[in-house]
Amino acid sequence: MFKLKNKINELESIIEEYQNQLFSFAFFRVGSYYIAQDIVQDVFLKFFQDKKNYNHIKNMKTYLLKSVSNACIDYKRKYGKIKIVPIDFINNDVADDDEEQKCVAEFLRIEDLLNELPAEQSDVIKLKFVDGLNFVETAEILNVSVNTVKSRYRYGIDKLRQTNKIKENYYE
Amino acid sequence: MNEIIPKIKPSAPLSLKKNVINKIKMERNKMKKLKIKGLSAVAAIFVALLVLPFIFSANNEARAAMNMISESIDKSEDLKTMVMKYLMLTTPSENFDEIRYDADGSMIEHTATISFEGAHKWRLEKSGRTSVFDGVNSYSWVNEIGWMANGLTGFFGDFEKFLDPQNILRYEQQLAKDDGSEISMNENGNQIILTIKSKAKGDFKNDYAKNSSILESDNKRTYTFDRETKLLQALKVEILYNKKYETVFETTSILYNVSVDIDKLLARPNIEWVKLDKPLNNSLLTGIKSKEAAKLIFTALANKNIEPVKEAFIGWNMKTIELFFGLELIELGEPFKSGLYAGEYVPYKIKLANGKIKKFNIALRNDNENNVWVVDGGL
Repeated sequence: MFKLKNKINELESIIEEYQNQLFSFAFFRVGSYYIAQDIVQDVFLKFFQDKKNYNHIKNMKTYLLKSVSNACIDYKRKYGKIKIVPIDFINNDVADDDEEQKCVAEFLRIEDLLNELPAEQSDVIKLKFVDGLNFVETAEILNVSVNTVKSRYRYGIDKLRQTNKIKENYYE
Repeated sequence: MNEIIPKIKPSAPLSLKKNVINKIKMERNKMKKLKIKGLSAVAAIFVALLVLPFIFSANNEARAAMNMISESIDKSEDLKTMVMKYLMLTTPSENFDEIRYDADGSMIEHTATISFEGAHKWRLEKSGRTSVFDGVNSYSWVNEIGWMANGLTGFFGDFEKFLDPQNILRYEQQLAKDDGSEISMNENGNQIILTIKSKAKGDFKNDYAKNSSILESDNKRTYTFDRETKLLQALKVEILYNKKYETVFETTSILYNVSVDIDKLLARPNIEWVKLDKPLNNSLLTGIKSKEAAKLIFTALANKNIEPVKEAFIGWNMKTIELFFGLELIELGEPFKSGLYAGEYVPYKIKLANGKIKKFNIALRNDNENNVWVVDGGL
């Protein structure tokens, strides 16, 4: 019983530390507060149920981001690429409408900006600019080498520049 | 430079952490929602209920144990008062007969004060709920919400059935058919310790209710009697969960024949009391299957008007009911029975007015006088 109590306390600390980043990550993949919340909650639940302890996880941040990323991919596979939930459906306690609408607008803007890129390139660019991850973390989440991440990044940025969607190079 | 960087990033909703922890609690509750079948007025009642399967047990140790219990029952007959303090795995305002696993795993302190002089009077309290039986009526309240009924009601749990020793014996006879239990008796100085292990009882074709009560769990009860007085000194109940016994009930003190202030024992707040014992009449909720009843109930909640099915919510607090107003019924599954529950569970999936999806089993029963389906839980 006490072990469980400790485990829950530990989970609470982990949620507090990572929930904003994970929620934002999920939101910028699915475009919906409601669905993003559901996805992140499910990830934490599975994480709690699956893990006897958390000691073996080398990098908690990338471990959780990868889990959320996989859950978003599953979601899109099941329900389509993007599913915007009407504001009416959104839980009142999720956030105030104003913030949410701004975020949805921002999500749509970024989707539009990246929509002509192949998914593998837009994934890398999103992870860097939207989620603020470095190439090593990105490589870990995408299960590819750092070099692959870098080349996808360069190709993506080049394409965005060619289509005048961005004005600068963004190269490291 | 900033085209790809979001100008605004969403923060995680305040409810996210709470939802995860609640879901964990709920999952645990599903497994560990335990109903301790009440609290006895006398040690004999505890003894009688929990050792029921062994009364007619053939082995010598069991026979010796039964003799011990019989002596304890005899000795308990002369009691004038009893004050028992115990810890239970539950929440502060939960029904007294239910043990619930809470996330922090804490045991809640309870005090039972009983007077056996004249008509038996009881008071059972914990921080969030109190119940009183004044010999005629039962009262139970949580904050400003109070319920009352004539006679003993479910306020004290199913133990009310066992207040009459003859009922105890009848019930013992009924359960004595079960021979799958193990009993051991040890002496320790001035104490006699009985340990009884029983297998879960009930119909578990669907195992939803497995571990939902002590009787529906593989459990172990440990009684400590005073060798000289033969009175119960302590009781501990554990249930087998994940191959390990976990304590769900444990007495911390049992005092006999202490001075009890009857006025204090019977004191109750000046609040409005909802009467629970009036016969239910509702033609809509009678003569139909549980699934149809569930549909009617959810439809009423969806329409924000429970008037047509208000009897289904007997004893429910309106504020709680209103949480479900405006819901959208997505799906109803096939009803099932499980364990010892007299009613049926109907699986459902709803979308609440706030957009949340809820998937659970509504517990409906119609074992009342007019067979009206009522909501027993699961919302």
